[in-house]
Amino acid sequence: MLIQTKDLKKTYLTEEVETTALNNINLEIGEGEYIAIMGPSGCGKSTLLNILGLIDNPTSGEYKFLGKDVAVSTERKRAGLRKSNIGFIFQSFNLIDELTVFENVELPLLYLGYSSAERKKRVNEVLENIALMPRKNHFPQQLSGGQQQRVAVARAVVTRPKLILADEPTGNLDSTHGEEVMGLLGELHAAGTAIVMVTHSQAYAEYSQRIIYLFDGQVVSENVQKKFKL
Amino acid sequence: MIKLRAVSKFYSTGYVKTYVLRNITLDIGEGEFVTVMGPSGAGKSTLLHILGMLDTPSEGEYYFDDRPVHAFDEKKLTELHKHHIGFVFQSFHLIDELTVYENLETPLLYKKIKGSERKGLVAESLDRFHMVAKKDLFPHQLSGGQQQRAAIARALITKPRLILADEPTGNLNSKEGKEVMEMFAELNAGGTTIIQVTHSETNAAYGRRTIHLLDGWLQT
Repeated sequence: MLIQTKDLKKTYLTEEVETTALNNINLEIGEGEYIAIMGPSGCGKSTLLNILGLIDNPTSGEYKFLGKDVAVSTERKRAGLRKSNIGFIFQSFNLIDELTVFENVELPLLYLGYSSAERKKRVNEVLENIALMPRKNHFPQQLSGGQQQRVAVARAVVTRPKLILADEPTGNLDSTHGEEVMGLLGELHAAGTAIVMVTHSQAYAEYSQRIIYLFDGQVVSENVQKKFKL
Repeated sequence: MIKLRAVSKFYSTGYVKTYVLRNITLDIGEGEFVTVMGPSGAGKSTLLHILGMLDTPSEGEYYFDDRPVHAFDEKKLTELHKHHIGFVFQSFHLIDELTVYENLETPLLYKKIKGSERKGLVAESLDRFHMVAKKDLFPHQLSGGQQQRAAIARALITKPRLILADEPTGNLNSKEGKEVMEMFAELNAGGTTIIQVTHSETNAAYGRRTIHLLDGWLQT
């Protein structure tokens, strides 16, 4: 099992008022699964994604990632698991403006200590895949939104992670570019990568195998997609 | 430092040329703090992108330190941009899965700077931008103002000689905006050249010279 959570809860304390962002979340996600998370703004979707991605902590409950208990482990261990197993894609691309396309994609490999030859090989390979080789020395601001998001996808997958977490990956794109990104996610899924994607779009959610609906911090229903049903 | 000579920028669609910048001649010396103002669509951002070598003029000449930028190929432009220019944008582009410390460190990873020196530079920058207590947090755990501070810290960690800022306080409240402007004033006092695009008279007052653009023309 890739992800298992039990009674996961997240609360925030603001000016002595406790707000519950997530309550009683019980999830099991298998390796290679493709999940969509839907729900209205403020329902806790992004908080859940951040916790699953080990960039936020639950207030209580259990979280096992690849069988390891990570709800309470040290940041060092969490960082190790995160950097080698999880790729992130966000709505606002989050590319570093001071770095070229090549360097942006290379970054996660630097943190994992790959040799320069291996880095070059892998980055060129993914840039080739997303048809952005001619742009490799450009800066993010010189690219269109669709191209920037493709670079972000390249950076998320260059480490060949087991899990891709995507928070509204098409939110800032027009429908042509949105479909392009969904196509890339579909290819990754076909190659065995698990994907958990937050989206507002029912049409894009239907690219997944299972849709989880959140409301006020709780899972209110799950819907296994017919076309993928085993 | 900067010399523009009759710079124009246009886009051709069919037989129609749409001008964004027209015949701009402009000198900016080292250590200046210049504000560019004008209505939306006047060409402010295009001018900033050309100055920052992220875009090229259609006509005219651009000299940076007396080097003919207009004649440079892409590789040379990239090098020049990386060595001298820090860009600050309205929306902050931090990497969500990296901590504040790691976000600040990223531009240094590509400059062949030793580990110990890198640590020193990041520590100095955290200190200067009042982010020491936040260094192990992720961007989503910061307020908007703190995120912008971290983004500016990253843009400046390589100590660029020229800062180009495009509406740097656009997403901030007035207190946070004031902090950013005071930081710019401090950097400028230390010798850094700053060119900012803004709609705000308050922010413009921090600069020592304001130039106005209208429909792509420099107003005199």
